[in-house]
Amino acid sequence: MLTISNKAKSRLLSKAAKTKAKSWLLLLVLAGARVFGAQSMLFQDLCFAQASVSISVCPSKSWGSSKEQQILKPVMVEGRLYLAINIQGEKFHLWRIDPNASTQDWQEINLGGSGGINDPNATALGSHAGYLYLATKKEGERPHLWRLQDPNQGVWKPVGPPEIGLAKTIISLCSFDRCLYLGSVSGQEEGDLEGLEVQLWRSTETETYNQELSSATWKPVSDVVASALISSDFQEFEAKLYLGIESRANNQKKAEVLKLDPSPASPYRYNIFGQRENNQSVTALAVCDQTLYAATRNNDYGAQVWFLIKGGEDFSRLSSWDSFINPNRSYPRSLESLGSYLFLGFDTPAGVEIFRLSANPDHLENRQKEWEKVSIIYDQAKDQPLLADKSNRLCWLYADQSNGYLFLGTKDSSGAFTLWKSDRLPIITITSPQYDYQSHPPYAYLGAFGPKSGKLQVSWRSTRSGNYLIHQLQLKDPNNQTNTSPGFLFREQGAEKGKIYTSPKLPPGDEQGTYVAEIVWDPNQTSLPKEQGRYPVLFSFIYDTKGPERLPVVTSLTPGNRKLRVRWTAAHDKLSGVAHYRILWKESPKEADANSIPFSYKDLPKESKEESKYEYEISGLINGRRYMVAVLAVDRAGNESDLSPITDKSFATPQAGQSLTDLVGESGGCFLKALGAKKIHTMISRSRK
Amino acid sequence: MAKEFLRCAFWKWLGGCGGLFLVGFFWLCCPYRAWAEAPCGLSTSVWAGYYIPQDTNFRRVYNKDNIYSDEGQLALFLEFSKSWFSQIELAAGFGGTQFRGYTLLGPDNPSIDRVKMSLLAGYTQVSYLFRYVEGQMLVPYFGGGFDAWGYQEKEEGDDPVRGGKYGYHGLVGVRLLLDWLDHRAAESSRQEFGIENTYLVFEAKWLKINNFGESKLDFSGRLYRAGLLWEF
Repeated sequence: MLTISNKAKSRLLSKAAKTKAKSWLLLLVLAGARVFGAQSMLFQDLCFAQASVSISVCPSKSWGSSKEQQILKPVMVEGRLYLAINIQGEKFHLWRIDPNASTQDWQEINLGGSGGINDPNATALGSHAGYLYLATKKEGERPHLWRLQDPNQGVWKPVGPPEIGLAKTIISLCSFDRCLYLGSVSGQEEGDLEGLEVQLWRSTETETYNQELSSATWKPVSDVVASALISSDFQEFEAKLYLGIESRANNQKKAEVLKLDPSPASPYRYNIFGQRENNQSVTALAVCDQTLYAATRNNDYGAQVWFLIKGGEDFSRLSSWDSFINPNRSYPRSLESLGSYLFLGFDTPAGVEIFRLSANPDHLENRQKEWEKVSIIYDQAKDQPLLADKSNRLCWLYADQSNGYLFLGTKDSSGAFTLWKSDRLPIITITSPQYDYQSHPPYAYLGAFGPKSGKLQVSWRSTRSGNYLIHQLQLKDPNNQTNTSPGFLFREQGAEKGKIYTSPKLPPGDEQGTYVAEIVWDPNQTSLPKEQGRYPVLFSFIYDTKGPERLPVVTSLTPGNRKLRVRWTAAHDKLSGVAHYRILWKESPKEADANSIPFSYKDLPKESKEESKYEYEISGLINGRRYMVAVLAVDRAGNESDLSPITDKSFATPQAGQSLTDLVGESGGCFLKALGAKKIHTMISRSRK
Repeated sequence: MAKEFLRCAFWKWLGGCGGLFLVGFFWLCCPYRAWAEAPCGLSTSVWAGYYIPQDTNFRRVYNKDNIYSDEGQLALFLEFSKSWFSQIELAAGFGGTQFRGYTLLGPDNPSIDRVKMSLLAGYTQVSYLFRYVEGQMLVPYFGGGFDAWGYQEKEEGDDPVRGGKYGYHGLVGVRLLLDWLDHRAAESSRQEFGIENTYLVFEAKWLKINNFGESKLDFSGRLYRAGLLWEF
């Protein structure tokens, strides 16, 4: 029996590594083998490519006694990472660290003492409107919600207890569309969430907008069924909120993803996740390069990963799903995206396992690639514990998007918590050069560009400290051909994070057009291989120094009472497009005086409604005086056009018009009197007196 | 000779479309149901109509932003009436309409200042109905009455000008009995609500509302309206 199994195993494994079709066959055989109880011999690790990441124990922190500890997934607020730890028999602790600071000291947040937070357990952390929100719990009481008003002094403001029905515990918090969402459970105190009733709540928009949540502002999000398990984080994707759940019907567990519109909250359910394969729940969601990924739990065949592209109708399964045909990898604990990589974490009998997948949207075929197994670089000199120790259990992964660190929380066999932190990983995302200029003006984004100087310059905001270089600059001509400038153009040494830098004047000169620039970040970190240490960013911008070439023309100027209404034709700017119009007027008794009097002006809003785009009422004028009115257009690069041509239609005099009663000389009066009912009128007047 | 010509013409007309007309007319005038219970003569009606002022100045100012056309405006009315002998009817009603326009800088030269004219009309009238049998399906009628109209003209940013005008009107109309459309519904509404007859009514009015020629502000014009009339 053993001999036969080994042969079958080696044969099948070699086929599975070659083609996807053959891996289906493997699946069938594996399923059959499971029935006959032979899985322990057949399920072996497949071959993964290796990706090296340096991960070490987060320095300088002892997390207290090694009793059973529960660690909540951390939250980043204003660039600082907050971590809450529940310790059995003690009050919980809340810690804070600045991951980017040179001295990485953990600071414990004061919980306020008497009058502050007295609940022993923290149940959820969340970030909303720049504040840290904390949900706490005391046995036998309703949950409490707190906002950290002053992190330095540890000033907490109670935001509850929220009126959330019979819920006993708040298990998740999420900020979305100016509202704070929370997931609550009832029926059980803590631990495994299975069998609980789960509900989703939303704060009312107005009060959240004013950042003044109160206890009476929570509304249940309709149609989020009870007996559903919130088993993953909330994720925002395409202006919608997504939530992975495990729904139950007729004692069957089913993986589903809920999609919530901001308003009204009527969840849409995605439930395509492999009915036949018996996927039981969506345990983790992550957004990476305009794609939403979902990891599903499957005790029979191992975890699967699914993706929903931007604008897509439904989830599709990653072709590389068969990499995880292994019941040891049935429960994907965490899915995180960092830059163009997707990280997936498992608990296995062999310890913590982490995989990564390149998910660059410019190379969709990358989705066909296999997962890489992240091998942990272990610094023996530091004599640190091994992450891959069999006794470690993964609690969560957390990707620090703004700084490029991957954090891991693990518990050992005694229940003691350990926090791990990677070295800085590449997080610059390669963006598509096909920029949407209409809805995303390039000067508002990375690669800001100032054309008014009359020079071709590139500005950018440094998202990392280090060296930057402008690697190349391409001019796209109308035929979509590109003229590429020399490879290296400019280097900025030692840029500071968050500052805006501008290059000097660059070749190819002053030619206007649409350019694509490539900026390379060189972190100059010796610990990373050179080819991984340079991260290019492609972005395009419009070099436009001239105003709109077709001027607006005033078509009518109509007087009113102390106002004038001007209408004009549309202007046109070939390169960057017209952004808005400017209306100019001045009192001008004679045409000869026109140049000697300064204009008053008003910029129309950039987002004018279509019907008011080419029309404006100038008010506050003086009746009987003659005014000259002109219009100019401003393009998206900020260049102004010339004034509209001055014609007879550019002059008008405000005056009050005549209504019908003015016209016929009718002054009105009492209705009854006018009807001749003088007696009735007199009687009413007397009775009033 | 003339008599002979007329007689020939009559028989020719009767043999052609005239015959069909007479058959149709008498069919419509024939009783729909037997006399059962005399109605009390009270009736209520709701109307939607189209008021077209004839005053030139009115039409100059209020010739924009109207709902239906540059000439007239939608008007709504509620009317109550009492009839005697099935032929004589006294009615009173009220209704209203509103016009929007722009003030004038000169003849046919509107400014950009918006102005609004609200009209509240009250009237009373006497009509003669050509109704000779109970359940007659087609009932032509004519009449006349007096009007009292209140108005309010409001210009943007200015105080409103209010006042009233009175006058008279003449009218012609026709009522079409609807009970034959659904006998059961008619019977049901008779038993449950006491509605003896339900009519669809069409009416044209010629209004002269200018304080009998003494006012410069003239609301004279035409009113075409249609309504539903319930006779109890």
